[in-house]
Amino acid sequence: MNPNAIDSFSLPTGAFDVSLLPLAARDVGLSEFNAAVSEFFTGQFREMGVNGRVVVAPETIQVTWVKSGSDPIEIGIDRLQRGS
Amino acid sequence: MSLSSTTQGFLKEVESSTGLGVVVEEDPRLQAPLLAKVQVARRGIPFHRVAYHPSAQGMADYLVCYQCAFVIRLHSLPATERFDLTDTPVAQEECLGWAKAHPASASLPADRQAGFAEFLRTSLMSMVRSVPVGLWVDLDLRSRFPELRIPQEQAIRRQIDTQAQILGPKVRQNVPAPALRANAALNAAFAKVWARELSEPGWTLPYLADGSSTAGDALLALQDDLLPTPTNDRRLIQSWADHLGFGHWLRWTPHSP
Repeated sequence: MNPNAIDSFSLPTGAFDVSLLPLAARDVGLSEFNAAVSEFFTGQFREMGVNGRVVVAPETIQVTWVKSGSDPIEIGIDRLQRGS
Repeated sequence: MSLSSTTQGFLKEVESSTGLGVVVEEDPRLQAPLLAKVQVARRGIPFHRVAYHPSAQGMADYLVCYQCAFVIRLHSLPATERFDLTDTPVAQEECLGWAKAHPASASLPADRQAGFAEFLRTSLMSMVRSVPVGLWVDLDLRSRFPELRIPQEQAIRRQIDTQAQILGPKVRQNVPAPALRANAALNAAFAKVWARELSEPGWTLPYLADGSSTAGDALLALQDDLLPTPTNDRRLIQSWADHLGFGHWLRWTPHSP
């Protein structure tokens, strides 16, 4: 079993490093910012070869990904065992 | 619990290099993210003590070997080159200054501010003492003792998980920026090494996103400049602390058994 099939973290929206984004999308809270953050993580997921999800809310960015080929039942068991 | 022959070998090596045995025991008082710790025999106590948290029992062999490795490294040096690391009074003063200036702790009573400052100081000192040399220890264990790899990976995954939580909004609100920056740089360095070793590129993602990845890279560059020998442990720790801005906190005194 892969014990790390799901990973996640969250960041305050204001803590995202805006230098990673195009100049026109660096104003936190604007729709351009939200779209660019999502695009940034989508690119990272692609490089990592994983399925991921990003939710950019006004206060928080929530990032979750699942490894390719992971068994969802094993993932559930693992999460229960890890208490998360 | 019974320990493996590899672990017994580490315990014997500590005993032969220091002249004192090691007591291994569970300790539920250890607080996350600490899974284990070693207390080196001193001031008349006739043994070393390695304690691990009961929740980490499945990793006990690895944790005991890891802790013993620090003692073995220290005692592999000539007595004149062995140093103990403590901190100067300036460390507490500066941490107290951070606590007083930070909105979340500025209005706390003085005793709680002092307690929070002590927490910041001991956390950063503990990290800078253990993370850089710990990476050398871990990589050495990984290459020489394949039988420890499974519990080692379990312990590392647990640390990576715990460290990523520190980036979340709750902790960020409560921790002064200088401490947060240093903590993130140390954790970024740790994540970068293990992301590469264990093919887990996602472990570096939080630090890339919050901009601390570069600081982690800078710490690892300092490490790359040194051979991973015990003679360089002190130099490495000092260089990381200097880079993180609190090198002046460190006080090195000749090791006193």
